Amino acid sequence: MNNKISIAQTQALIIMASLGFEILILPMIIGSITQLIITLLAGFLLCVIGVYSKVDISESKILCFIYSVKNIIVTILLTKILADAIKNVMLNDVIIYKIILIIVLVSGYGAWKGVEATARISQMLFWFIVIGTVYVYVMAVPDIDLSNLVYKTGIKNTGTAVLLGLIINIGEIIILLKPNMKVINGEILKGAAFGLLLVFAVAFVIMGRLGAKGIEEVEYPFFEIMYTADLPNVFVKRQEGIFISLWIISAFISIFIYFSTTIGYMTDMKINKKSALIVLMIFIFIFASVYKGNMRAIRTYCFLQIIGGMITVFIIPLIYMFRRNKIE
Amino acid sequence: MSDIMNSKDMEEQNQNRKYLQNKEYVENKFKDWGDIVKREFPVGEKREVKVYIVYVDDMVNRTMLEEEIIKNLIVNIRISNPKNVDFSDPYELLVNGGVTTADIKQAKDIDEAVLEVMSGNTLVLIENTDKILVISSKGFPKRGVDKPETEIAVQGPQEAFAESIRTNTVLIRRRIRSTDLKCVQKKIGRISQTDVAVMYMENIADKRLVKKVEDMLENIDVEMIYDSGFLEQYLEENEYSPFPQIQLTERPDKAAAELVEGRIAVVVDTSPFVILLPTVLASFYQASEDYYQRWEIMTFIRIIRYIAGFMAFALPGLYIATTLYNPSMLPTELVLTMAQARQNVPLPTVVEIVILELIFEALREAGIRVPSSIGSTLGIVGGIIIGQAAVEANLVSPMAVIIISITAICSFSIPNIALTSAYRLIKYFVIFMSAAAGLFGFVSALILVLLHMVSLKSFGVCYVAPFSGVNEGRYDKLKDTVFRFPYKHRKEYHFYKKLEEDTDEQ
Repeated sequence: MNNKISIAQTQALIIMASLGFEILILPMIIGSITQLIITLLAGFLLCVIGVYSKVDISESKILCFIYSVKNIIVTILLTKILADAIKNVMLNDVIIYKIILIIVLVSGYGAWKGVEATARISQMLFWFIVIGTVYVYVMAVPDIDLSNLVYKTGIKNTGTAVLLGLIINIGEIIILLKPNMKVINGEILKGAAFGLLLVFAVAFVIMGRLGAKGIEEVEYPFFEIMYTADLPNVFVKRQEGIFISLWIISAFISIFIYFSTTIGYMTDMKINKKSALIVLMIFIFIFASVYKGNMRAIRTYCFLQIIGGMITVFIIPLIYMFRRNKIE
Repeated sequence: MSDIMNSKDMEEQNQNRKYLQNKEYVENKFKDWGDIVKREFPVGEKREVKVYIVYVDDMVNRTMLEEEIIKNLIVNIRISNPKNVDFSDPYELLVNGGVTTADIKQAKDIDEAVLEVMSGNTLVLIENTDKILVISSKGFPKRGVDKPETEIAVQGPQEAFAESIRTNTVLIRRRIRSTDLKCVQKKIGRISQTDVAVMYMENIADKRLVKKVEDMLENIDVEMIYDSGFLEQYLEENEYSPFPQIQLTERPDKAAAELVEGRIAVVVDTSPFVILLPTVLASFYQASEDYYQRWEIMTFIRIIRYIAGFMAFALPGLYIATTLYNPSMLPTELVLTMAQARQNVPLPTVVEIVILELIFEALREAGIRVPSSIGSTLGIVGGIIIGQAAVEANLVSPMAVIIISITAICSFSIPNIALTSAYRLIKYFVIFMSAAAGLFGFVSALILVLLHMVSLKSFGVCYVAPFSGVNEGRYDKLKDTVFRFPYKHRKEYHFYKKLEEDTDEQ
């Protein structure tokens, strides 16, 4: 495979990735609807920077190293978050190491096949996952209580919301995928906008349905809607299993992107692809297994995305944007 | 003057020596060949030139050979116009005055001529000339054009390819009367020297693709080519994949239609199956009949096929995942019924399903091998009697038997046996993953299978095109995949023409 992806595939990848961990984590940490809008707008701004910045990680070994280190930590945390979520909602009786092992093996294979394979899967399954997710949340719309929606304004809340925009990893994914894109232009932003719109819709339904108190009480508000939405059923009584399965695919796609781009950067740093893959798989498995507590993993992930993301998604791309503009 | 005479004599002597050498070479090559026919006879008014003729018995069209060649050489050449007979160039004489068939050629050397004899042609050595004449006289015993057996269609042509390469190319040419239909013939196999024809539409097929196919065929270094299925494995890019990356068809109408869509057909002598390439997954779900009936019903059938294809490898895994880990997904009554039916079954669900699957595989294999007259008996004994007895003896649950039966029926709904075989293998992997981690394991298995499928390429074309891997006109191409749109709504008939834009070479 040549590992090059088209605009349509990039858009599909971005949207699928936004349906992965963003819609799982954002409703858990966002306090109000105004914050949600500001966070998403900040996330979109990062996407704009990502598209128009001339940063190409594969050109510099230092950049490859910085992004690889961050990617590895992100992959470990996402693996842990996914494993805990699956254990919590699907496999209560299964030991977590088994789930982590499966995630690592599947992700390893995805990384081995490369970004192009992930993009193809995203393109193929795009409508199944988008329609599936939209269906569940549309069915939950009648139960929205508008009084549950909190509006918080003020400098502190706005500032927090802007910082939380760094958790939206679409901008980061655009930067990570740049070496693999056949064409880089404004069309990518359409995908980003659509993805963020979906995140907004899902988070809006969750907030309206559960309210701030309800969100605090449940472990995963995102899955809670699936459990409680009034879905028409004929044969399959509890359809949440189907929708959680669709979500798992989106979550895997996010992990594939981080994992496979890391392998790509390590190869750029003259590290053999196969050995890098094996070492990373072992590494991810061990650290994801010893890391305790799902909420801790989510908090660490958010902290890493805000602090690390400030460097990888904001500062470095901006430096490259101005440096290249100056040269030109 | 005498010098000139001497040099002419010397040349004649040399040529005569060459004739004798070639004759001896042929004699040695065909030593201990009981089925070879060799005969030397004089031709001409005074019988002054010897001709040595060689062919393999029953590989030639004997009537044609005797009437058009031998009779002409021995009798007609003398009685037609004896006064004008000039034996100064016996080769020219024979070619222009003795042989009354158009399909003749001069062999480059004696080895090529020997090869032609083994291909069913007739070798003619002529005294006083070093030229070797080869007359096309193929007349192999062959099966006629029969009905297709693996790609049956209720409506549409009922012709199938046969074992003769010429019959097969003619069956295609009959459907495409265009000078753009090219047929490049090659020989493959160091020992078998099997005739292989590469057919393509010059104005539609991608030239890089044609070259790639020709180069790949050229580079195949093998002793024997037994069948197109044998050649297929040499042409596959990923030999470790269970998925077929090349399509075989026994229907000339399908081959012709695919050629017009931009594919390449490889016709192999001695095989009733023609290779079609490149191949995408969607092409395995298409049957000839889809195009001969109304689009509404065929779209419906296509959707059924895709669902059946999914069930063929996913259903047992899904059953295991839901019953072992996520029974809450099923209606309570059904779960209770299933639990009740399994109450006295000593085997775990996974073992039960795997054993039943393996028994079914054995039954399917036995069904193919036994004579057709006892095939139905085998089905009754294996499927009904043993199945019933196993359920009554509480060895397996009725639900497991139902799941295995539905899986089998679904696998038969796919129009291509090679894809069915791939699904048969993948099914066990899905069962294993589902048994390990329920619905999550099932989804993980699907992702792994998908990852494998999307990374496959058939001659540079993405295996999952047009679902992915098309840069231009994707939605037009999708109109002949899961759905079969009415012809008037389809702009693009050359399905494969723009797929190659996604190749690695670009």
